[in-house]
Amino acid sequence: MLLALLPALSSVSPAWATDDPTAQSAYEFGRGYRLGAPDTLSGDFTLGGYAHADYEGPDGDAPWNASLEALSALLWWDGGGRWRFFSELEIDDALVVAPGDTTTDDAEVVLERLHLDYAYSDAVQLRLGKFLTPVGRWNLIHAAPLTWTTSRPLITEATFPTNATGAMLYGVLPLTAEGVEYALYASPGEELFPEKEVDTFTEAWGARMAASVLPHAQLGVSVANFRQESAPDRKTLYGLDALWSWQRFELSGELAYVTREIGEERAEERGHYVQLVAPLSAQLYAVLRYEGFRAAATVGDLSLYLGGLTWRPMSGLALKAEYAKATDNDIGLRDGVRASIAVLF
Amino acid sequence: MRRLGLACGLAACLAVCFPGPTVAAAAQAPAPAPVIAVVVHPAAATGAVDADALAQIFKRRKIYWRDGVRIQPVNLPADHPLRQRFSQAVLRQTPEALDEYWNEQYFHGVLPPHVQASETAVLRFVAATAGAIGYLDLCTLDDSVRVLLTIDGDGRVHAADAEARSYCQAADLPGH
Repeated sequence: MLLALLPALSSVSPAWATDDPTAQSAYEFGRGYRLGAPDTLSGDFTLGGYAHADYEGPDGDAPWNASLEALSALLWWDGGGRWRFFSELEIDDALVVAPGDTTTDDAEVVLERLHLDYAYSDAVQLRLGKFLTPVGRWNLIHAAPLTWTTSRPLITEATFPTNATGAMLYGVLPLTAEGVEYALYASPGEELFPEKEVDTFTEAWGARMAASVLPHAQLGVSVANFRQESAPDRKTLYGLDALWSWQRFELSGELAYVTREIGEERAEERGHYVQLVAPLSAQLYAVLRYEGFRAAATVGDLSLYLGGLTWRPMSGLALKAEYAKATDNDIGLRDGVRASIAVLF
Repeated sequence: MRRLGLACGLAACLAVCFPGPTVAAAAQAPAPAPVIAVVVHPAAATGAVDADALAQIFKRRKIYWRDGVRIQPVNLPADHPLRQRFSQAVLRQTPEALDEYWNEQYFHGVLPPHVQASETAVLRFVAATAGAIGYLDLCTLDDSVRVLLTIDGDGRVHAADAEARSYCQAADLPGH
């Protein structure tokens, strides 16, 4: 379905990147549709989003499947003042195709984000509502058109709930040339429109700081203390993330260490990934990733090796194919081929 | 005498047919890149703004002036020579290389700076919009805006002073 849109999309370039006098049109590919007053700066409401369709190859007894994995709508309001509103509504698995079976029964509407923001200054901003949990780098930019692989590193979703409902104080502190980003948040639980089969927070607090420490390099530190629906144990997560990008090369990684306390008992969970992206041509990239993960209930350390290609024929559009193989796979992680097409619209 | 005249004629012919390095360099020397003026609305309470702060403004990470007015950065089109020079000098990247950055910002509900089609349009916009900041050829602006910084031909960012525009008068450049 998305492939059918390619010819049309390829003829459209972002209006802000041209000197066309009609550049201030209401719709710009990859930048959404500006409702209300598109020729003004504030633009009132903006409606946009992204979509991705995935393919998973067969793995042992598990057959192949393909799905319209996510169709996500972003709607936000920015009146040019101190208040802003942002929402993301997603339809997951709108269509799933497997050998002998095509179904829409798995479709689920998910409220990913819904928050109101007030900016006192650049350094002091308040967010209330449901937001992405500020742990690591991947979770904060997890949209498929922005990432290099179809699959997501384990530690970016297996070690903490990816969304939180509560309050967050955040901003950019003018401590360095590029500023230091920070976020402090707390959640009393009571997830806003919780996603089915997701182990949400019942209570949480945490913090994150990120800064450019060297030219072309960013470093982030995260900490979170929380309980989840599925178990009474309290977890504390310590995270570290880094990104180095230069001349279209990119080296990134994250590290997470989680302690779980159940009464007198204590268990550990830890994981990491390192990912290298290298340009092969103007639009084609090679991706290599290594992941290590040790869940609290397992004995061995899982290792996952991934190699893939990503083609970005234009900004906001990505076609990806990858092969992954895991060893000491006690948690049933799927091996094999994955491919996807993802687009911002 | 006749031999001297012949030599001079030959030399003149050679000079025309095979111009020396000095003549060639003078003929092919590129025009100096215009000084870029970073301009704001005359009433904007900008406080001190250096090259780093300017980059943060045009990446929409710094969004308020000192008095709390929302900063409204405005760009020229991506292929405009001044936009290319401004982007390299201030953001250290071409406009095209910033695509991935703006894609990530879009995911969080932040759009790139507004684009005006020409320097004249930037001048009009900045003069009319509280909180606006833009850039244009130093020698094309007028008193409707205030010069905050200048960017020289080598990409160095300087604080503007009262003499900044005397460059245009001294050079007798178009517009003055």
